[in-house]
Amino acid sequence: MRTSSFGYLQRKSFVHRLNPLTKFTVLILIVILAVTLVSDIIALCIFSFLLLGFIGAGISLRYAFGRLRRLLTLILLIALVQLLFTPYGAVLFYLIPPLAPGFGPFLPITTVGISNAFNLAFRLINIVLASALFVASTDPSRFAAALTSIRIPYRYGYTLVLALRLVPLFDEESNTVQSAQRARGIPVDQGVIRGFLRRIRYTFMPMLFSALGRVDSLTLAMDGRGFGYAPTRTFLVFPKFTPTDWLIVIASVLLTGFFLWNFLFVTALPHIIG
Amino acid sequence: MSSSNASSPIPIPLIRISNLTYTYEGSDKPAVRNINLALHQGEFTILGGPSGCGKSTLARCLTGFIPHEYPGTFQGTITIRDQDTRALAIRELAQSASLIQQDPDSQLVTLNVTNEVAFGLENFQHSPATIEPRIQWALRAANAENLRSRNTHTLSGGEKQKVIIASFIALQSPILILDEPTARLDPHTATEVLKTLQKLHNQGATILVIEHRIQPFLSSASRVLLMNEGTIIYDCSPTQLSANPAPLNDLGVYLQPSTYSETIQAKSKIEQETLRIQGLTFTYPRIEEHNSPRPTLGNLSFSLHSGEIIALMGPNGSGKSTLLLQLMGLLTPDAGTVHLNQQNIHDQPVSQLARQIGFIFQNPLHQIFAHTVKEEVLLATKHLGLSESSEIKLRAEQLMRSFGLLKYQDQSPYALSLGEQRRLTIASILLHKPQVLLFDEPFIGQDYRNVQRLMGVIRSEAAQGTTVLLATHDAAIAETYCSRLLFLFDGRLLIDAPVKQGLEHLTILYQTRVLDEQGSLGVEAEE
Repeated sequence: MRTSSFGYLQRKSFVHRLNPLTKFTVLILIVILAVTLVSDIIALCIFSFLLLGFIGAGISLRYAFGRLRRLLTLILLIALVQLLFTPYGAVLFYLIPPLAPGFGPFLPITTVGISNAFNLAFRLINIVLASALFVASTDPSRFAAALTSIRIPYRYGYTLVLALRLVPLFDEESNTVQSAQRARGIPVDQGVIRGFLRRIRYTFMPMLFSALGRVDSLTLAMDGRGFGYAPTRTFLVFPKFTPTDWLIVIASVLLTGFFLWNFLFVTALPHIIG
Repeated sequence: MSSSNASSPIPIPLIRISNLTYTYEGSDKPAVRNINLALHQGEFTILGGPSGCGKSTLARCLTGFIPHEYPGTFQGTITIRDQDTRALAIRELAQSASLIQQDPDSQLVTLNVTNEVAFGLENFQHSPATIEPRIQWALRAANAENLRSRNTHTLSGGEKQKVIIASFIALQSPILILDEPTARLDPHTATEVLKTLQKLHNQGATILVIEHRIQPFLSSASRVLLMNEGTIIYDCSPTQLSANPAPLNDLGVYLQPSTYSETIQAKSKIEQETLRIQGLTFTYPRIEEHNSPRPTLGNLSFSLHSGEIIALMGPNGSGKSTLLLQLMGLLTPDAGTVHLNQQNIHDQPVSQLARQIGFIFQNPLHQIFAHTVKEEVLLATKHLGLSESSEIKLRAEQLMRSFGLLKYQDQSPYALSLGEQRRLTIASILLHKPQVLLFDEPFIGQDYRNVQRLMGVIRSEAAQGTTVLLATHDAAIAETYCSRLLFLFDGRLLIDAPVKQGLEHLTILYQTRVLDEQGSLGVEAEE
């Protein structure tokens, strides 16, 4: 069995070398922009920036999009709903033409619908790609170390390390349980909705007990190596904050501030006030 | 055999156990009782005994996890270097004694080997300047220097075990306790781990190994302890044990392959071909884009017949589990075919194929789905189109009785012990009498008696014409119960022969170092 989740990829790239806090700051700023600003241009700018980020991290786009295909499919479905059910704007055409006098047409495709769907999809894709780039290019142990430099207790930092460590493990277990269901004759591969419900029903208990066992062993293994021995701990490699990190953080904050100021005081506020 | 200490006692006691009795919360029977023991500086001790006799509980007591992490009734005292384990926190005790558990996968905390070995040292606030040489020392001592730059999730089972050993010995705590360190390893990797332990022992470590298979450890050990029903019943030297091994059979402890009392190979009426595998080739999708796409299975061709019990052997990562998943139709081959009774198995969904092929996974928890033991055994009536006739109910009852599960029939299967859960999964597969049985390492953590009991049932199924393919690392099981050996190496079928000739051929391959030289290739294949 092999995992299909998206995790840290060890490389020696410029993006990998950046301080994890720098990357985390940029991630937070991208999420703020994606959530607050309804702008195709900004969304495209961020998207292009992220594509460059993947290339700079030495992670091929084919690999990244391949691993994220389920999430991206979900986003496209959300965008499709937006496209089909936005009644505002000029109607370009109807997906279902009039079927009989007085019956139809249905599902108008409008200019606002297309714009909204496009914009929403890009914003969500940007959030997913930014998170994926952060996870793929940041060693969780370095991130945990970096968090302690801003006085976050290492126990919280290690919660994240463990989460990222357990994702591929549980992913693999889930695949095994689903194989076992099919091998026991449980028809999880028959019927879209019924198969899905059966899969959930027969996955929960085996996964729960298996996960409890894993967590129990992991806790013993951590305690047995002195985790929590003292309020602070050392780190073999402590990521430094270099001038490049400062430059990227300052540039990102200024750019985000500019976009938000422009949106609030140039685009949105005059409309609201007047 | 004596109940006194080994002949040449070593003077400094590191651990003293006095009148230890411990009962888990919710249990009415002590897991360990009235134990008095001293472990000395520099001893290499093996602790054997049947499944459920209290070995792992004793190990948890020695490292303070009991009573700190497990609620229950703790009586008596344990002192490590004259400090009472109840008075110290686990993280403080960790500086004196380290416990390495069975499953390395569940003990890896970080994502790369260097961080993993550094983890404990960082917790104990060592400076980076002292951590670095300690990592190098620990990896060298564990024969794992070549793994330093690797990601933990790309390691094979044996490599993970070595990294976990390195991460604990880096702490240089004077006592190292290992709970079945070789249970999941192939003989070659198990030997590597044993060499690592010998090396550590030579450097002064005090080692306690908990094992069912004690034979490989006897030449290194200075002392053997045997437990049964929560108490230590023998405390002797390896020489004394070798001279009089009789009690081992009663306890379910493996000494050497010949101790399997019944060498009955399946002289089955091999009648007809059931499974035909032709040109089977399969490569897993790459974990990372830079991994080389080596085939996990390369162009395998062979046939299995009714009534055969076939041992499927090979090093960790050689493709045994992948082959079994292919035969169950759970993976689609890149090339080649698998035919069951001359019909391609991929022409029908797996859930229908399950009527004819039964699959027993390594971890029983992965394939238990019902709320009670009885429902679990009868699960096939729900999903495989079997009517819940009186005949089926009677067979379910017979299976539960022969597997010692009848008294638990209304209980939750999750409340059973691991050995009982293993028996339950086999009973539930046997209900509908599949034509082929595929077992993926069913005997991990099972003692001699349990192996005998399970193999007895498997043999009687084979005698009725069932084809059995059994993935195992245990040559003794293969030699005792199987008629034929398939040996996989690096995804290729290296040996397909009657079991005796196959094992002899395998010995020659190892003796002439043909397999040793290729071993590194096998490891690379798992990346």
